[in-house]
Amino acid sequence: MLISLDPQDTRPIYVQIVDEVRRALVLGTLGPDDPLPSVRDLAVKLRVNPNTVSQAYRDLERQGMVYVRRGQGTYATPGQTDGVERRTLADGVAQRALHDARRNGLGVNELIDAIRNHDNHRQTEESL
Amino acid sequence: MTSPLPTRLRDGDLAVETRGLTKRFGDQVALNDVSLQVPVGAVYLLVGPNGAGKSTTLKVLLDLMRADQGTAEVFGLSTRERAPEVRANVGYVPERPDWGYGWMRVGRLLEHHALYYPTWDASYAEKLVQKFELRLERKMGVLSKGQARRVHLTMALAHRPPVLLLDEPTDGLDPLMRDETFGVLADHLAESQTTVVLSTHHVEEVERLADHIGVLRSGELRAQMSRADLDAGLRRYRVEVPDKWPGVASLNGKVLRRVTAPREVQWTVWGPETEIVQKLSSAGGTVREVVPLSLLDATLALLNPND
Amino acid sequence: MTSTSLHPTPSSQTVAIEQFRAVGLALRKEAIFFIGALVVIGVLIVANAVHFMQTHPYANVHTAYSMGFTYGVAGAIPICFLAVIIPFGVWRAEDPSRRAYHWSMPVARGPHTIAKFLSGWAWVMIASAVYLLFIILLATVLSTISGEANTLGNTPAWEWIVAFTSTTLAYFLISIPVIASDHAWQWIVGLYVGYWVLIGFLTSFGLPEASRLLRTIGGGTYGLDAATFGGGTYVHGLSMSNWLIAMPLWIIGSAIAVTVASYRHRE
Repeated sequence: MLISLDPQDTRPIYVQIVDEVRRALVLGTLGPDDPLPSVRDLAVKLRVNPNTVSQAYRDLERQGMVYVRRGQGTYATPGQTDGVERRTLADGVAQRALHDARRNGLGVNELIDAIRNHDNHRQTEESL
Repeated sequence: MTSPLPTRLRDGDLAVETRGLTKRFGDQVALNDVSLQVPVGAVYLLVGPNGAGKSTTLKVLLDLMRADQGTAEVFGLSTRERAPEVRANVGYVPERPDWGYGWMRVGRLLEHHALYYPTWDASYAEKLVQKFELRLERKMGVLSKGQARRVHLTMALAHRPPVLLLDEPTDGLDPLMRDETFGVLADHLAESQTTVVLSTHHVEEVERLADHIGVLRSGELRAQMSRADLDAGLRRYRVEVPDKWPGVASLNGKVLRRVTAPREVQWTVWGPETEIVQKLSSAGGTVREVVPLSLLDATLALLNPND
Repeated sequence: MTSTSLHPTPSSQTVAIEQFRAVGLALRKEAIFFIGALVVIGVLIVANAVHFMQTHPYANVHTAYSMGFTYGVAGAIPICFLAVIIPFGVWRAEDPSRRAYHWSMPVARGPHTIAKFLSGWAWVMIASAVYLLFIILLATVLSTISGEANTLGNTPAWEWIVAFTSTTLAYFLISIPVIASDHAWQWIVGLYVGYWVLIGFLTSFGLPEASRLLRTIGGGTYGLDAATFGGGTYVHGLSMSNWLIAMPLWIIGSAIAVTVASYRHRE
């Protein structure tokens, strides 16, 4: 599992870490019962305050995405590749897209049309 | 006009606290009624332009300088009356590169420093020497600014003090070493509970480490808050506005920066988002975008409000 | 981490020993120069004596090499020169604007400065002892070469002790401006020049009494000369009794001044 942070992302770091873990869980790069890096290792790797990493891990545990084995570390809860977390991810993507659309003065339907259009083009290109 | 920005933290256990610190150099005011509050375990970023009083504050904490008025305490110990005990619990990286006996070799200076700090961890010191690629046989006086910096960092960290006062800790370091330094700091924080007061111009570098911020300008503490409060309270609003828009009177004083164009404005505003969006909307503006700011942009807005 | 687990300050013993070692390191250049000078001078004198003996078989060696055969307070003058430059070595590259490192240590500033000062003094005493041993050795060698007995034993005990007290006083006095100021040299030269200029002024302005009073500081019965060399180099003439009074007074006075300078809080 690779966790990296986008320097352009202005959301709180712990939110970014939670999202990264969620993404890894849904994609499967963090499999069921796989261990997460220790708070210390992740803090050092990302050059992040360890308290922030702890906060992210606590949030993940609260949301049920990970569980803690006393004295051993944090592990991914099985069964994350569909359902709640997937929808949460989709919600995040939609939110960002809508935000961008609004910023450019576009309405929801314009955005949906553009997405469908783009996807059609992509499918056409791929089948060639 | 009173600033809407918070300058006092909510109560809690403070590792470092100053009350009404005032310091003059002749007729120049270096510090004016500065009341710093650094909670235990915080990574506190002290920002401000050159000459704002950051280094002076740190020196007062070490009793290298004495304030004309006000008090300073580290873990409840008066920095003036119990200076040696305070210094035994502080790791200091000074702004100046020529610190430590210039005629002494690096290795010998570390040995000297170790004797003064009974909690010196020799194996950790060795690890730091390797990480920072120190050459122990070189004399301190011939080191470059960056090389000296790395020695000072080793000296400050190796005895694992409860408080670190770092004045431009990455000054003179190449990008690789700067990155290495923050890795070392993150590791250090994970290993031992440490309170850090950090002064740096490279605000973007400490974005991920700092959880508190204090803004000093011309010797005054303009704002002091946790990152959480900063993230929640400061936003940039992009608003479409009609021609000859009168603005929003009720937000005066809370707008830190304004960028104005025909029919569009971009304001950096302090305050609750929903309330501000509502005020902007009811004043006739269409809020197109609300974004939180990076630590660097937030710092710039706090330091240099052009309102 | 609660306040009960605060880190301790180092013990006084540790600080004292480490200051002694560190100051010794700081004085390495001076030490090398000193030992080197002794070796060179010793070799030159001995070689010269050997040569003299070979070329002047019936000459009066005693007059030619009085230094090797008698010792007086004036013998302490060379080592006093060393004592005068040692404070600069002790505080090397640490004119107070750079002294921040010394001040930032977890030791109270006054006592810490005194510790470094006393470490330097210990090394001055060691140097004085080495110097006297050199004198005795040189005299013994010269005696052996010439066959004439040396008369070191004729020197009264107090004149030997002057080697230690004069260097102590010189070290203490020079340490005052070095510790107290950024511009020690300016103070020392300024005071010395000012002293003589003032004396000249007072004399030429028809105030010979005031001028004479001022001169007692240097050359009077209990003046600086009496305190260092028992009056042997200056106006009055050698006097142990004057020295017994002047020396402790001057040393205590300068010690007090050093202490005041050390405890003064400077930025």
